[in-house]
Amino acid sequence: MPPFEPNIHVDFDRPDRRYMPGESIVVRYEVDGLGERPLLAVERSLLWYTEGKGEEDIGVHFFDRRSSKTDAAKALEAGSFMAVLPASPLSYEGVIVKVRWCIRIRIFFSGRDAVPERLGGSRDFVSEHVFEVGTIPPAAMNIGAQTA
Amino acid sequence: MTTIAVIPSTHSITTNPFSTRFTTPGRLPPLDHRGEEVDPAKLLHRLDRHGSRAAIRGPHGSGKSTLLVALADQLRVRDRLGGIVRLGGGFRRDLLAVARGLAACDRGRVLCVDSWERLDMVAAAVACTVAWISGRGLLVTSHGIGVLPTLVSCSTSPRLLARIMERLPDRFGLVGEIDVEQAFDEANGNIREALFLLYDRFERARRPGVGS
Repeated sequence: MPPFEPNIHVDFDRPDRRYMPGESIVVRYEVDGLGERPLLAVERSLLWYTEGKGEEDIGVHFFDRRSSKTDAAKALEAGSFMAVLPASPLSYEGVIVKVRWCIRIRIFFSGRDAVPERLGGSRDFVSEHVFEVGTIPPAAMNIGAQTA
Repeated sequence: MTTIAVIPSTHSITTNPFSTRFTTPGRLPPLDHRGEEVDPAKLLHRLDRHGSRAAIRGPHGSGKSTLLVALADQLRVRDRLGGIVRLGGGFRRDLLAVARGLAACDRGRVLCVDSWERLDMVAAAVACTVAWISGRGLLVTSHGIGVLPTLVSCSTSPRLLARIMERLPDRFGLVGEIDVEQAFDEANGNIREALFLLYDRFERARRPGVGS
């Protein structure tokens, strides 16, 4: 049986992955490394999240779920989608908090512990592919005095 | 627990592996003080022997909340979870939150309460009595002693922090083993604080020549 090491490859319509608010984004994705295990479902989403020292915040701008009950297996393993980006929030590389936009592809398998233990040992696998919205420059570093 | 692979954009910006996104309770598996994985099923068996009412005890940043989330997940899988309540909104709000949690918890299920020590002794004793009389389970995290029996005592060690490091995203060589050991010492063994210190170190290291 071929090895089961799920991998999700995502192509953006812009190789530099830089977009402006109101622009459209086109994404193609392909799942490989499945061995002979079939997918139960694929969730495709476009979202922003915060990353930092506080509680995570998240906003889903686009979400779509494809299931093996309604779609052919090949349609689950590869596909594309398009969305128009909203006016906010813009990507921001702060020190204490960052705002990130990403394409998230989540795939589900049958059975328990479908993913190898060293990859997490879970029944699903999520791949997030970061891109940028807007052109806010990164924040300056000023936390040294607090923590030195 | 879901496996998440984060692929950064091509020209930037490395994900900080110490952000709460990767470290908050529920994102890491529960580990004991040696860094070995805790088996939630065994602890639930022990919880049953305590009549479904017990406390996870330990100091700040020792993994109590992480363990509570893991046990709550197991209870959910077994259709025994009666709810999760996180205290910290002030005494009256906390008291109300526990009362509402117990009211919404069906008989035979377990209500999970994080930061139980925020209730005073009287309120905690009353809540325990109500849970006992009404046949509801109670699983709480707490720093101190109380009327509930101890399910497990959490503690930390440098080895535990080292094992957590293995489960976080790539550090890109920006934070080394010595940094990890220093952070553990500076935080007096508080893993949460140590991770915050490492977050700051990672930020300083990724922005060379600025403010260091």
